Order: sequence, then C-alpha cells, then structure tokens
Amino acid sequence: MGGDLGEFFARHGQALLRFAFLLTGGRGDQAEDLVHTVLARLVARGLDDLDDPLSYARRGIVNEHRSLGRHAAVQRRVLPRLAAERDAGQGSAESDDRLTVLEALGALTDRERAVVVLRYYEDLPDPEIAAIVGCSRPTVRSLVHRAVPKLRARLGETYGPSGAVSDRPGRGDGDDD
Amino acid sequence: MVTMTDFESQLRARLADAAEGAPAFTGFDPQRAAESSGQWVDSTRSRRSYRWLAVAAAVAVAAAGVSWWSSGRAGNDGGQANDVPQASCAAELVLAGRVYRGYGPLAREPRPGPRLGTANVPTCDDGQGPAGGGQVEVFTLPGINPDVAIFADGLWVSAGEAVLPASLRDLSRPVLCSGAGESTVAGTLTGIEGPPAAEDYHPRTPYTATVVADEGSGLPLDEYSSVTIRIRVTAATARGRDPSLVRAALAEGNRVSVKVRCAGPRFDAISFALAP
Repeated sequence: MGGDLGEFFARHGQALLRFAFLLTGGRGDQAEDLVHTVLARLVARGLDDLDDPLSYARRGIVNEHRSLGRHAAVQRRVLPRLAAERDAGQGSAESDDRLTVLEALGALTDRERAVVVLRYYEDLPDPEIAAIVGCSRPTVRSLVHRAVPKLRARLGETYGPSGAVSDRPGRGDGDDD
Repeated sequence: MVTMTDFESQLRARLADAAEGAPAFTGFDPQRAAESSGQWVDSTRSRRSYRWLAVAAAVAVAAAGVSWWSSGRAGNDGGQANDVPQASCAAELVLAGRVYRGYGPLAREPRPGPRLGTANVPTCDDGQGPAGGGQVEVFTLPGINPDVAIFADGLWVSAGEAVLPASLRDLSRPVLCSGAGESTVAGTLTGIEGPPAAEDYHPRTPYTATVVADEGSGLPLDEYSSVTIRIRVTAATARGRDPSLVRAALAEGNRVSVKVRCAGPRFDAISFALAP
C-alpha cells in the first residue's frame, strides 16, 4: 500500500499541485496546503477501494478549497501573503500574461474557477467535472457560460479575436448530453 | 469533438503556462500526513509554520554558510522527505521588543541596507523538545520602515502588519524571461521538478530547474542581490541529464551556469555547466 501511495505521489503530486495552484488563483502556499491535506487523507484511507484516486484527489482539493473560504481565521493568517500575490501582477510595466491569467481566475467564484480549470486545463469532460465539483452537467455548462465572459472581459484585450472558432479539439461532454 | 472559440483555445494554453508557476512538489512525509489527516486548519498551520521555521533555521545557521533551501528543498528527489526540522511553532524574531515573522521564500532577494542590530530568535518547543534560540544580525530594507519589516537572510515582517507595502509585495513577483537571443545565468540550483528520477541524480527530461541566480544579463540584478528563476530543461539541453553535474549542483552545492533563451516568459535551457 505504501508503495502504491509513493508511486501515486511521485506520479501525480506535481500535477495536483499545479491544479491546486490554478484553483487558488495562483496562491502557491494555499495550493501546497490543499494538496498536503488531501494527500494526508489518502494516506489515512488508502487506495484500495478507490477506482480513480486521481479523481478523488481532485475532488478533495476542490472541496477543501471551498471549505477554505469558510475559514475566516485561516484567511486572516495568510492575509499578508495573499495580498502580495493578489497584487503581484500590478504596478509592473512588463507584460506578464501568467499573472494576468491568475488574477483573472481570482475574479471568479470558487465553483466557476473549478469548472474552468477542470475543463480548460485538465481537459476533462463535463460528466467528470460534474462528479468532481458535485453538481449536475447542466450546472457545469452554466458555470462555464458565466465564467468565460468574465474571463474574456478581463483577458480579451491581451488575446486574439474573440468569438472566432478554432479547429482544436475539445472534449466537451464526452457524450451526447 | 467539439469546437472551441479562439478565446477558449488561448485560455487553455495560458492556463497551462500559468500552471508552470506552481511550487515544486518536493515529496510527502507519510508520518506527518497521518498526523494531520482531515484537520484542515491544523494542517494549514502546521504546514505554514513548518515553512517559517525553516527560514528561522536558516537564520540560525547563516553564520555557518548553510542554506536551508539548497540543503532541505532540493526539488523532486523521488518523494523523499526533506531534512528540515518539523515543528508546529512559527518562525519569529524579536528586535527591541517587536515581533517579526518570517515571510518565506522570495522570488527576488533584496539588497539589505545598514545593520540594525541583533535580534533574538525565540526558543520553540513543539513538544519534541526545545529548538531554535540564539541571536542573528538584522538589517534595514531600503525605503522600508524597520517597524514594518527587516532583513535577516530573508524578509521578516512585523507581526502587526496585515498588508505589506507595495515594494515588499514586489519581492514575491516571479521573474520571467524577456529579451531576444541567448544569455547565460549563473547561480545555485535549488531543485528540479519533473518525472521521477531513474535513480538518484539521474533526472528525466523534460523537467524544470529552479535556480537562484546572482549573475546574468537580462535579470533584474541591479535591483536585487539574486532572483529565483525556473528554467525548462529538455532532452535537447546539453548536460541536462548529466547525473554528475546534477549531483555536484544539488548535493555538493556547486554553482551552475546555464545558457538560456526565452520562450515567451519562460526560460528554456540550451546547456548546463558547472560555473567556473
């Protein structure tokens, strides 16, 4: 079991940290805390009865992140760091698309951010996103439809023509839903 | 297959790039995990304090020239726990009755100003016996009221400060690649992040190397004494998979010299060498 966990951590630890990093709008400390907490739960319960440990871990990170918003004390404790990271992209003349994207993510609600990251970064189909976020597939689509215009409003000027259609494949629902 | 708008396609690419800014996953300690499982607040406190204590440990051993970052955070080492002591009390300094807390790793290391004096490092006892203690020299930060923040092998912020001045927030801003053509940077390799190593110090490409650079054209070293940059290393990088070089850099602390070029905001490594 320990070996399985070790392999899981080695294989997915960095990917989960990147996922959490985007989910938190680029707050590295929070991302590390989220991943650490969820991996701790995996250690406690083991992998034996999990069909998809990676999906379990993603779901745990999403849920923990939402819980974080309800822990005012935690937020107070990390306030200086958050303020620094939230403002990190401001006041600089240099183009910094990475920080601009993270800042734009920070403007979304927790659930909007989760579905955006799961769809456009993790490239997951809507049914899987729904299972991770804990909502219906229509709700996933609704959240995406609310989030994308917000992102477009913040990022549109730095991106190419909006509304044009690309031939790139996307996974969408993964079925006919 | 479904179609995506250009905006969505570009968003996907930008998210992938932004995710590269995540911290390095440096392994997981199952023992600590078992202790903190299911305790979000506790685990947050423990994790953060652990990081800050590491900074305090660095201060305590600064006179001996030991770097906690290079010795304890050597990047992806196959999941092994690092050797930074574990504790559950925060890193603090006390100067003239004022308590300062460690701010953690910075992307841009400031140049300290005049010496302020000697601060005390309080003894910490997390139930595993007392640790820390001692004294450390502290310095001003240019343009910063010492009541707000001071420098002691890192940034220390007054416990009463909720929001940092903009000039200090800037220290956490990532350093991105800019400019055309090739350039060479030199500094300390503090970690690599990527697929698990085949065996000790045999890195697999592609991976990301974290280098604390104190030399290099195109880096803002007029303003800062060093900057932390993340460099993409691929199979095409000369000596990027050389285990003797990686061992010398990570385990023995030898400086590295990296020829890089910009791929957008990302540093791409052309070649690795030990610095002369």
